[in-house]
Amino acid sequence: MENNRFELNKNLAQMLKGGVIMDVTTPEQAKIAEAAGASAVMALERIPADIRAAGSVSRMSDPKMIKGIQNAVSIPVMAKCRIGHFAEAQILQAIEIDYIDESEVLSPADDKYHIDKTKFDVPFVCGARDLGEALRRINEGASMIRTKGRARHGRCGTGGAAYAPDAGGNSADRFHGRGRAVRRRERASSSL
Amino acid sequence: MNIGILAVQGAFIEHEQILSRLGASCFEIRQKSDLSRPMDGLIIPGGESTVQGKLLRDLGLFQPLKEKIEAGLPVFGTCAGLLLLARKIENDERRHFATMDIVAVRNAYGRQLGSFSAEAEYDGLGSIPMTFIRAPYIESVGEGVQVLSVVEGHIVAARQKNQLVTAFHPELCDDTTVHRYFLDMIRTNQAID
Repeated sequence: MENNRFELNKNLAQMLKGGVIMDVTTPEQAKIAEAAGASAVMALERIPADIRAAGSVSRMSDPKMIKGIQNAVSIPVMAKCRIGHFAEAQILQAIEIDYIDESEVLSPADDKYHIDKTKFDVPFVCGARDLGEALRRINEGASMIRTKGRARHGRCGTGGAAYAPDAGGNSADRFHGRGRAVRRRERASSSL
Repeated sequence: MNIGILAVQGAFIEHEQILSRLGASCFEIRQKSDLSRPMDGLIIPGGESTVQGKLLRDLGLFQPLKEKIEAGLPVFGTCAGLLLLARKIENDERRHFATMDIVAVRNAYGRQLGSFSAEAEYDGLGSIPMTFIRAPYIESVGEGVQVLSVVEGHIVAARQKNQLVTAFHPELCDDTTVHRYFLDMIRTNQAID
């Protein structure tokens, strides 16, 4: 049965091919996305650029807001949970989300482990920057892989449960040891 | 035999792979100029019916394909393809080709958690594996529509003359029964011509 869910979840990814998944924050935006030809919508409280600009801890969206979007459109609805935050994923599964994005856009909740996605019936999509990352996520049960944006980070004292766990260094060197050019290059080479 | 596969969105490559296993040649329909190629059959794949319906119109494919279907071109729609061909969708205002006299229910089994696989009889050709992904089913059929498969009391495969639809995805399984059935439809159609 477990393997079967994995197959069915990969099958949904196959149906999304050639489509556009649009970030939306309200039922009205979701309807516009659907009418414009989106093959799925990603329900989130703030779009990633705003999340980064705000610089505070960023969590799973309010389930009530996600449900409003689910009721507004007929296409699949996805939502993000924090890396490693299996309780958020359980909530998203309970409201029957079509895909969970275990996302580096939100504040990571675990600096070592991602969610054990094989324990879930709903599918997961994860970001990866190289084959190794992609294979680790698939081994954990992800049924779709996307390219990866900048791993989210907050300054010390924001109360984030963990800093970017896999952004290629510890938080100290991320925030103090690297020049602006390096960071600009990182920005240029990463896209969501 | 040359089969056109609508390739604007969704799981079209899976159909191509099955057809190539069966030795049938096919081509992708992505824009209007693709329709100038000789076409003996048409496959409308799974995906999102809202997306495919919009792209069909935006790309100017809608009217010419509708005319071909009405003129008797054998057509096979899976999942979203079923919805595009249905005369009426119970829980959706949108209409697309609406060439087949069936009433469909969209996302009839609910969201992704409702997706499932089953085995059921297909038109007396034996039991075949069926994969349902956020699938529709057929609530009722008009006169002249032949019911080919029923799962848990719901119609999941049907045929009306040149039109074949399945709510499930034969292109996601190894079993080739439904595709062979469609190739037979095309051969019969060619014999009549």
